[in-house]
Amino acid sequence: MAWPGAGTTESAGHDFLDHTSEVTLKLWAGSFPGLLSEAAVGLSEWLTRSTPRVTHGEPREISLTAKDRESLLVAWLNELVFFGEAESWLVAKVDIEATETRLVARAEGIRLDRPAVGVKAATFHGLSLRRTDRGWEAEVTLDV
Amino acid sequence: MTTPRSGIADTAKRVSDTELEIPVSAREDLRVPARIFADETLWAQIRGDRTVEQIGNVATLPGIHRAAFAMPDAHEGYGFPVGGVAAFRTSDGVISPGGVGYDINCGVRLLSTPLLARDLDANIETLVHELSRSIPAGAGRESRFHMNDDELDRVLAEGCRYLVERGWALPEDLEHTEATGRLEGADPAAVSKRARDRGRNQLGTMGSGNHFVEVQRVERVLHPEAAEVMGLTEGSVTVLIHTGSRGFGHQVCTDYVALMDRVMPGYGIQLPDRQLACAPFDSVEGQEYWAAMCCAANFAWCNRQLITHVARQVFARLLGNDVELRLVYDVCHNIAKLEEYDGETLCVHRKGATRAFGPSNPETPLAYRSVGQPVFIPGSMGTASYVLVGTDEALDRSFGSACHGAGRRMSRGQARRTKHGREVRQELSDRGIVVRCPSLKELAEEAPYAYKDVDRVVQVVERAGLAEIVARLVPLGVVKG
Repeated sequence: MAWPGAGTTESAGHDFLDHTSEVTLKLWAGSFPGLLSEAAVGLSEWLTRSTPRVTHGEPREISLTAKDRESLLVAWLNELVFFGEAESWLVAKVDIEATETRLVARAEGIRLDRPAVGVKAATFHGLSLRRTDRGWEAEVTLDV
Repeated sequence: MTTPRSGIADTAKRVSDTELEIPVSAREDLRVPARIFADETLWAQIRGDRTVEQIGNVATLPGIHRAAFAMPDAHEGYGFPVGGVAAFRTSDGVISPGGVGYDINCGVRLLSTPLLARDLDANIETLVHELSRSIPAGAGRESRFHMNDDELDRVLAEGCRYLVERGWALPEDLEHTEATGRLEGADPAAVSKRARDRGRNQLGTMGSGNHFVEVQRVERVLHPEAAEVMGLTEGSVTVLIHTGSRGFGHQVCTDYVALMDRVMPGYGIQLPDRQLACAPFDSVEGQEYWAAMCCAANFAWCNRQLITHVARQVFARLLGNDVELRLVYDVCHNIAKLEEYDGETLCVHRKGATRAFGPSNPETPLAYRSVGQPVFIPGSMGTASYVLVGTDEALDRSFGSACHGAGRRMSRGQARRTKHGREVRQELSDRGIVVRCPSLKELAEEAPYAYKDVDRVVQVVERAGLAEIVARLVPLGVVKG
């Protein structure tokens, strides 16, 4: 339990769990779109190793489709890994609409002064995503 | 951390003092047995995480030949364990991007020098400093070698041959690079724009994590004949470069794991772990991944070659133009290769494992036909590294493969909580090792105690007949990625 996550809402949050060679991002939120938002915030935090600054003027709309919720979560994180590394852009705040196989995200970003290269990819390894009494929970392993 | 997990590890039978076997009967879905090279101490560590379950998962993949192997440095990864070797028949088997890993053709190369460590004493601080200024390391430092699309295509298709043309590689460097620094199956058309965008400014950069450039002293020669062929003498200075295909390879893997996850059901492939996503080798998707993976492998060889070029410039500038840095060899430890065994063409996946061909193998460079292909096993930052040579015997035992490093035994978080980066730097400095690192946090994550004991790992490799120890190298200075 390295960095307890701040959470985008009261019922949402994230945490980083130890793994011998990688790191596992644990997520919880009241809704599936909320979980995807939390994933973005968690990734930004890992890549900057602190809670990202919220800045305005770097908006971005992202649409993605995948074959199921698990793939959508992994694809979303990998989308953000790409933007972080290729465009030095990370999510600060995001509103997401999502179904089981599609998401539309409207994000406000932060522009870094150098590429964020700390994560190679989000993986399917040990991926879990489940409904709980309080909403949704997931664990996704990042290759770092 | 070495609490044994239950499961198929309990079915392991010791075959020799360096090898265990998980029988094919251990799990209903295994197609072949799993073999683990370890003594009792390493076995206790290996069975402490999910390594054994993961090598079992590999043994379920279609077309797997003989057995799935775990090297003595094996530890839990994603999909394949790190330190895993598996070969699939190209006729009815698969190719798996997760079985190669994100850092395609991560590897190690060793350069010999005519210098003696005792002559370098006064200059080591300056030398390490200049290397760290000249070789971009850590998060997001950009390349000095900018490539337009056509030039990048040539890197991807031609590998190090193209760099000879540009004056960034010597012709003799090619012969001393695995596969001469170029896999022929490369087709830049199989690579996404995203992979290009991620990798474009990263040629000649080290990246972060466990990558490093180390200036070393040959502490001990244990196989004088092989050491002489390699130009290594006790007390001489060497340079070890450890890095891979950077964001380019990461994106190739990401793209093809996603593609194979989508198309796999159509091929009737069911997996115990989605990260093992794969497709038949001879399918459209299998062939596209192969073509893209070969591009990433060529990118990685060019990356290590460009760092070599810069290291040569730094040594010449500081120590004189007559100081020649000769490439001893360059080996990959995350790759799939086509090789012939038992009359079959196999796609051999080495994930955190090094090819270790013996003297009689035609792919062993001519210069090393009397001793075997050089194998380099970097220790963790600040500990010893080893030079070995492959054996002919390894072909039968492990598809001609040996280990790739010490292997992690602690998570990054655990390593950080054990000591602060400042303490780690001080301890290295107290031992006379000059360290340059862009992040103290990452220095703590890569501290020597976070890894298995490299001395034990290579001893097991030698006792198991996979490779022979040639020399032990100790660090004088480290530039950490």
